[in-house]
Amino acid sequence: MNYQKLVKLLNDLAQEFLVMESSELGIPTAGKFLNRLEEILAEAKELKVDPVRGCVSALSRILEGTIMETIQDKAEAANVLENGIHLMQNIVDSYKNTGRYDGSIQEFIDMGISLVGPVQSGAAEAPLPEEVDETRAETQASEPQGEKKIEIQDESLTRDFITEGLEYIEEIEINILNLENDPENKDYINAIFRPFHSIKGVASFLNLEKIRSLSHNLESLLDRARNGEISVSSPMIDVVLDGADALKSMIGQLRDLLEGKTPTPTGLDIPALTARIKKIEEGFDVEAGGKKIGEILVDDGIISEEKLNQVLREKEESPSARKLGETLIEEKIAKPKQVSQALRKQMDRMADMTTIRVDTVKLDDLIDMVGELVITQSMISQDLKNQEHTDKRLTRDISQFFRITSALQRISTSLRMIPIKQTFQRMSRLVRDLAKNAGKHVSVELVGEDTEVDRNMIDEIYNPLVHMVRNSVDHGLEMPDERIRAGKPERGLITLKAYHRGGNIVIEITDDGRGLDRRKILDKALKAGFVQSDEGLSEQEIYKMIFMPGLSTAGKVTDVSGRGVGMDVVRRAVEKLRGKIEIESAVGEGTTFITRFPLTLAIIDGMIVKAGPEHYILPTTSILQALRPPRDAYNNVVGKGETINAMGRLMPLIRLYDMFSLEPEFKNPWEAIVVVVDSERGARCLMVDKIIGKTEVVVKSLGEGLKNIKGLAGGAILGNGRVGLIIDTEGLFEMADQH
Amino acid sequence: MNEKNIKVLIVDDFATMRKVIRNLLKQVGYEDIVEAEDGVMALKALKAQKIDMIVSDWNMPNMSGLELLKAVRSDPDLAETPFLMVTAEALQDNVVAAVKAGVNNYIVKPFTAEVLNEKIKKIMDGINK
Repeated sequence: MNYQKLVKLLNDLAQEFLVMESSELGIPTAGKFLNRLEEILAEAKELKVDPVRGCVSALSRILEGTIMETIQDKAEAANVLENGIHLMQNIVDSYKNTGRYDGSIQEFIDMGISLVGPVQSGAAEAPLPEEVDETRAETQASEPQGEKKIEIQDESLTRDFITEGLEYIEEIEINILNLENDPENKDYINAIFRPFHSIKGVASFLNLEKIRSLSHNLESLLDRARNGEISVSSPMIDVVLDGADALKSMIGQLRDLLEGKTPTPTGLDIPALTARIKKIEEGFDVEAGGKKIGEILVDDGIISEEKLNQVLREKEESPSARKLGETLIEEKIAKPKQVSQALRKQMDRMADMTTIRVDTVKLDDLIDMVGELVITQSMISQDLKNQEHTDKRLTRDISQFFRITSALQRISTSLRMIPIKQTFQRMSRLVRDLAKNAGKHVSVELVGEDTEVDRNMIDEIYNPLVHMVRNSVDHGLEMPDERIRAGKPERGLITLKAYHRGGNIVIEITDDGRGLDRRKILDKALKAGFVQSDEGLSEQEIYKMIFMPGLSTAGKVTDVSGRGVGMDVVRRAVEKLRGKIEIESAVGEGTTFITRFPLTLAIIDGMIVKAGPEHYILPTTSILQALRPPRDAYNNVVGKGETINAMGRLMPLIRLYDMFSLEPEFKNPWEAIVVVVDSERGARCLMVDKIIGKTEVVVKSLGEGLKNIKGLAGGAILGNGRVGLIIDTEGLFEMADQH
Repeated sequence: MNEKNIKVLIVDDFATMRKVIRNLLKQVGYEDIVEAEDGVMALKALKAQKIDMIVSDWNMPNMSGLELLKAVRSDPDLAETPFLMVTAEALQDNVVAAVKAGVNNYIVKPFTAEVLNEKIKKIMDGINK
């Protein structure tokens, strides 16, 4: 064995120690010594000089004690350190000569202990009394009269704290959503932990005890999650969100106070919130009732029964405060996520009798069948009208039956409705990211985020909405300096608003930016040849030109928009969902995109038209007008095809019977009916034999064999029991253009 | 050099916190103060001017206080710069890690101007000896 290096390390340390005065045992010196001791420890481990290892750990503890100021007597500490160094030198000497050390290090260790205190105490337990105090302080502080007793110490600092604190909370909210989607991502936990930490720090200086203590509790909850001691679960996310809300209103109170207003009572139950935080922090407290957590884990095949029994036995032999789930995670038998899933299952099974989970397939089937029922009902009602004599009793019973079916339809569609909240929150995060990239300052306001919409719609409307939001941030809002010059607040505002109107969900995206420039749009449209002049064009029509492919008013191309592709994609996507877009805009004040979507894709409002022997359904959202054109409105110009002059414009005429090779009743447009249908290709006139009526139909897929037929979006059973085909106007017009 | 003539760099991501520390420093006579919002910016500031004392938060995005400390100590031009670490709690593991990395002292939030002054004096005394 070669002890040379160890001897040298010890000699160096001894020498350094000699030249030091005890009063110099300050932090930098302690740090230097700790690093030396670490090297010595590594070497001692290598050479298996166990007594030195014992000494090193005792010495490190003494140094740490002086750093943490748990040891006050520096002179005595220096004395013990000196002894320790000499002892180690003796031990190594002895090893060098005999390969062992016969003396005992116990005496030295005892000396160390008398200085530091017994092992496993001291620093580790120190925070506990504080925690207890805190809970007590909280209970007192939250008593009614305590609410008003916020003392403002430094007004200017408090003001800064309010602004910055609220920003931080906003950041927390966004990151929480990310965390929910990706619970094991430590970056997100960190991103939530840090703002709480900062808020706590400043609150402690400003003596804002309630804010400090709540953010402290939330911070330590997240710290445990960060260290993997508890898993990120729904209840945890909920409590962090509630905590962030509570902080927000506490800071709001502070602001009221600063402004000389009486703070509005927050109505918060801070002790209850704290109790919830503590409960989640402690981990898993739901082992009562229902199935035991262990059993669920066994059922799910995550652990074996033998393993479970073994762990349970061990727990019995050495009882500790740890819950089973925690023990399993600690011993790496189960992952935090598995345990939390099992816990969730347990909770689902256990108590909640008011809600149940249902497979969405079943729900879809139910809604489908109810749709059929509604159609059967309208068949019955038509049959009844055709009856010669009416039975009063039967009529009464049937009208009762109708009421029930329509209620049933309402209820069943509502089953699949979910709030648009999450979509909005995703978008508000997007706004922040975009704004950051663009160097703009933007606030987001959400209105009506509880508005419900069919689950199947949510994903579909997300993409077009994202495009519009991008457009608003990128083009709508001005750069901060431009805003200041225009006398607007530096921070732009994007409002996302949702509400129900007439069987539709309306989503408005508003920015308070520069507004659409009519002139600029027109110039571009003229240049691109979309229009020949601006005569007779309404404001709406001009604005809508931004949805034309290839037309972008953006001065420069950014990485997200300005290439003139975005907005026509939006329009197509919205129309595919049978939605509509409108634009309101005022120069210098901002722009609002108003989109309307049907609440569900399962049922559409359609106009039934007849062409030859067949019935077709045209979605009403795309219909602009229906008319019987006068004879002179019809033109047939060679090379340009047939046109109809309607609504003050010449529009191409498409004969529906031609498209599906049918024999029509009328071949002359002035005898037939012409329906003006809007599309992304521009409005077209669709010629049909006659209009049968308006109806709501349940959309049915045409099945595998007929799925890819152009021009048809699906089928539906009509009131008279016949099948009607639903027309896909875009597809149909595309076909016609190729003709 | 008059003690109060030293240039102090405050590093914290929370602007209000920087202001808090700035105010406290002013109370005890330190007037020459620069600020940085994270470790990366701090290093830039350190390269650009002569800083006599760093007062840095522990917990910051991009580059933590500990990482900043290590970066400062490993840069021959900056290695000797006194470094005072601000922590939220006296967590032994953190403090010991900072001490091992060569921190001159640490201070636990919240603190008073007097304590801050004391810590800075202690650091300066240790160096001048």
